[in-house]
Parts: sequence; structure tokens; C-alpha cells
Amino acid sequence: MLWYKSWLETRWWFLVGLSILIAAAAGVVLLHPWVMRMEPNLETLGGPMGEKIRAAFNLMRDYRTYVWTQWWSKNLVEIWTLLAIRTAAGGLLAESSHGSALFTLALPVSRRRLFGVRCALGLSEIAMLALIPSLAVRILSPWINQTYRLSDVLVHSALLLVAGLVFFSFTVLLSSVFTDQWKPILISLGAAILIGLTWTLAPDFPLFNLVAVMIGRDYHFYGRIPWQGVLTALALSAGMLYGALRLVERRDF
Amino acid sequence: MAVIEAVNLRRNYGAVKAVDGIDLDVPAGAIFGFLGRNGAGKTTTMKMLLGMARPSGGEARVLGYSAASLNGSVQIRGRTAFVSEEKALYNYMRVGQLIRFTRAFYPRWRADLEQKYLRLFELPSDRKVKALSKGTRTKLALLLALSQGADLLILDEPTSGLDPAMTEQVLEALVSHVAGEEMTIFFSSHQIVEVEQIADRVGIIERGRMARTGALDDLRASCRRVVAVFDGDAPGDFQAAGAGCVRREGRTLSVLAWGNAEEIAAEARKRNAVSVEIAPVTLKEIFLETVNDAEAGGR
Repeated sequence: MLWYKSWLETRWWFLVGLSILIAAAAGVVLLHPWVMRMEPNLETLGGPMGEKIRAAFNLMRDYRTYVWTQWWSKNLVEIWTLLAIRTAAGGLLAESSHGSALFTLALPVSRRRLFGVRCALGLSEIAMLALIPSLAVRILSPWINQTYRLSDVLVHSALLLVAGLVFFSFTVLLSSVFTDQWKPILISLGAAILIGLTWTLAPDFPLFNLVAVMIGRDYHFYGRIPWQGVLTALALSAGMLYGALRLVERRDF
Repeated sequence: MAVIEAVNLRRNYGAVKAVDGIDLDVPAGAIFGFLGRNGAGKTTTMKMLLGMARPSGGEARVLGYSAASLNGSVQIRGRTAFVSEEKALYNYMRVGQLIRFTRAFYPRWRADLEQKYLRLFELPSDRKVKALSKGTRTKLALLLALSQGADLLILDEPTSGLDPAMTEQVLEALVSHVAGEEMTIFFSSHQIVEVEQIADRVGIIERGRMARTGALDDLRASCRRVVAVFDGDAPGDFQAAGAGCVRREGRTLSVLAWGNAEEIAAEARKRNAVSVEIAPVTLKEIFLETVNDAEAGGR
């Protein structure tokens, strides 16, 4: 029944988010022919900027790269991160600001189980938010006479989930500190924007680059799984989730 | 057998001693009224008994389990129903949904009682919790607590915010429930009249300390007010063993006597009182004298 409670608390964001992502996935696929028809217009663009745009366009002639550019490194990663942060916010402390935390805490279950169920449901939801719309890309591609590999969907979704888990866990940790539900969301969003800007300005920054793992850059271009990044993200997330659990277990309500 | 036992239970929040070494002994089957002013430490004590707050010191055992242990507190909550002062429930659920949700956690759930209280309290199963009035939400919280088949019921200000008619209905439901079921009730209130109406044992907490505790009848029997009237001004240095709060108003001296009213009356006569009366006291008087005493002691 704790699953049911957590589902009721998160379902609207999940369903609305899923709908938006599926619509975005459909948009990416169905707009591909229209984007390809823009090529003659690009010839008129001059200067270094025009060169850059033409180079990017040439890359996107390959449908797999088009999907990577428009879906995995743009629409999905941006919307999904926002939804992962929103899904992670909440829990016992937020409940205490509504007053219902004492009702929850009076149930004959441990705080560990309450925390575990909420996190597990949140993880399941963000996993579905990564996977289901991406499967829509594969399913819709034949409509425009293209194909997209299932293995690409699975590997990219897994990379997004594992690396994006850092944002989820960070928000869970903040939700174990602040009773206000919006503070963790705003702080996490701020962190996500900062990391995104760092990536845009210095994509080859030698330290662990979360965005590169999330969008599966190495996998797309070189077929490599970025194990170091994956393990670092997992370790960071596990540490933050454990810290959050300890805070919740020790807190007085 | 004691259902609730606490020894030197303490909870500090920084320099503030919310609960300052209280002892509790609530026997099975008792209806224990936990009295105190706002901020006296009632809610914190209840939270410690349920494992919602950790004690800074001392020990509490409920139904034989240590309230401070994680596993123990889960066992306690499995056999203890709790209604918080706010009666805040899940606003996004409907009444029937919340009942089904709660039922799933209690193997001893009493479907017969659930139906009985649904009818008695006239609760609308299909209405959202957020649409309920405070009174109806209190009734729903009570239904959820009373149907659990619990051995112990802990209620924090069960009638706060209710109108007199609803208060009466809730108290009647509680009394008739206890009459039919074997259970212990530990409830807090600052409504002394309702404590007097249903409790058989009381504890008065003031500034985190248990100022007085015992069976209500014993407290009433052991406490008397001695009122002495003198020819001139009442003596300012009146002292006698067992005298509680002593008040002087012109020629009248009023003394709260704990167990030795006759000796205090004799002392007043020795000091040339022209009339001496011994009168019974109400729980309200005992409460006020106790908290005033504790306050004077704390200053």
C-alpha cells in the first residue's frame, strides 16, 4: 500500500511528463523529413557561423546522429532532468509541512521502508520516462522510412538513467533537509543549469562530465560505454541516497 | 501490567528542555488523561512513546517494547493507534480510499467497527479528505484509530477545534468504545472538563516535568481546600505540613491541602481563625494549583 500512496502522490507529474516526452519524441521523428528539406536554404548562409551550421547539418544526414542530436542530447535530457528532479522532491519532510507526516509515521512501518518505497517508485518512474518515449522513437521511425536500433534505445536510456540519478539523488538528499518542497527543486535545477552551462562552454573538460555520460556521447560516436563516468555517478548517487536515509531516520518529527 | 512505562524520559532541543525527566506508569485498561498547558511537553512525550522523536535520555517502554529502538517502535505502532492534534490525513485520497489504505497495515483490523463508525459518524466514503470539515476529519481519524484492533490508543488533543456538540459525540464514542473493547487510552488535553469526564488516571505535566500523577479519585480524595476566616488580616506567615498553595485575601486564608486537611484546619484554629471550612476541589483547581506551584518553583 505504500507503493499506492507514493503513486498517488506522484502520478500527475509522471503522466503529464510522459505525455510531453512522447509528444516530443514524435515531433523529433516526424520533423526529420522537413529538416532534411531545409538543406538548399543553408547554402545561402555565409561566414563561419554558416560553416558551422552546414557541418552540423551534414552530421545529421545520418538518421542515428539526427536522433542523438535532437533527442538524446536535447529534448529528452532537458525535459527528463526536470522531471527527475520533480519526482525526487517530496517525502516525509514535505509531508510534515502539510501535517500528514504524523499519520504516515504512526503506521507500523520503518522509516527505512517508507524512504525505500518512495525512492524505488521514483526510480521506476524516471526509468519509464527515459525508456517509453525513446521506444516511441524506434516505433515511429518506420513511418518516415527510417530505422532506429533497439540496442541504441536501451543503452542510451540506461546511460541517461544512471547518470541522471545524480540529480534525482541530490534532490532526495535536499528533500531530507528542507521541509519546503520547492527549495530542493530550485536548488537542484540551479545545479543542473550550472552543469549544463559548463558542458556547453567546455565540453572537453577533463574531469568527470555528467552531461557527456547522460547523453551517451562516447557510446554514440565510438560505441564505448563510459564506465568510469557510470561508476562515478552510481557511487555519488548511492552516497547521497544513503545520507538522505540516515537524515530521515535520525530526524525528529 | 503497565502498558506505558517511562523512567526519567528527557528530550532537549538545544538549551530547551521540552521533556525534563518524566516518569510514567499507565496500567492496562486505564484511561489516562495527560494534562498540561500549551508547550508543557505533552506532544513531545507522545512522539517519543511512538518513536517519532528520539529521547535525549531516560527510557520509555510501550507494550513491553523499547520506544527508542527502531524495531521496537515499529512493533509499538503495530499495536497502538495514534491520532495527532492536527488530524492531518492524506488530502488527495477519498474517505473510502484512506480507510482501505490504512486497513492494509493492520492484520487485526475490525471491519465491524469500521462499519459501525462509518454509520455513527456519517462519513461520506466517496468524498475527498480535503473537502471534509475539521470535525468530520477528526471523526475519520478516530474511525481509523478505533478500527485498528489496537491495544493502546494515543490521542493528542482529540477534541481540539471541535464545537461542544461534536466534542460530546467524540467523547461518548470513546467511552463506549473502551467499555466494549479491552484497551488502554492515553490522551492529552488542556480541556480539563473532558479529562474529568472520561479519565480514571491523570498526569499533570508542567515545563516538561510530571508535576502530579495518580488515579483521579485518589487525587480528588487527597486534595482539599481549607478556607479560614480571621478577625483581622489573615496571617502572612501561615505554614503547615502538606499545605500547597496558600492565598491571602484580606481576612480570608485559602490553603490547598494534600492529604492533611484536618491538621491544616487545626493549625488555622490555633492561629485564632473564627471559621474554618474544608471543601472538596475540582480537577481544574488541582490543575491550576499544580501548574502555579510548578511555575513558582521554576522561578
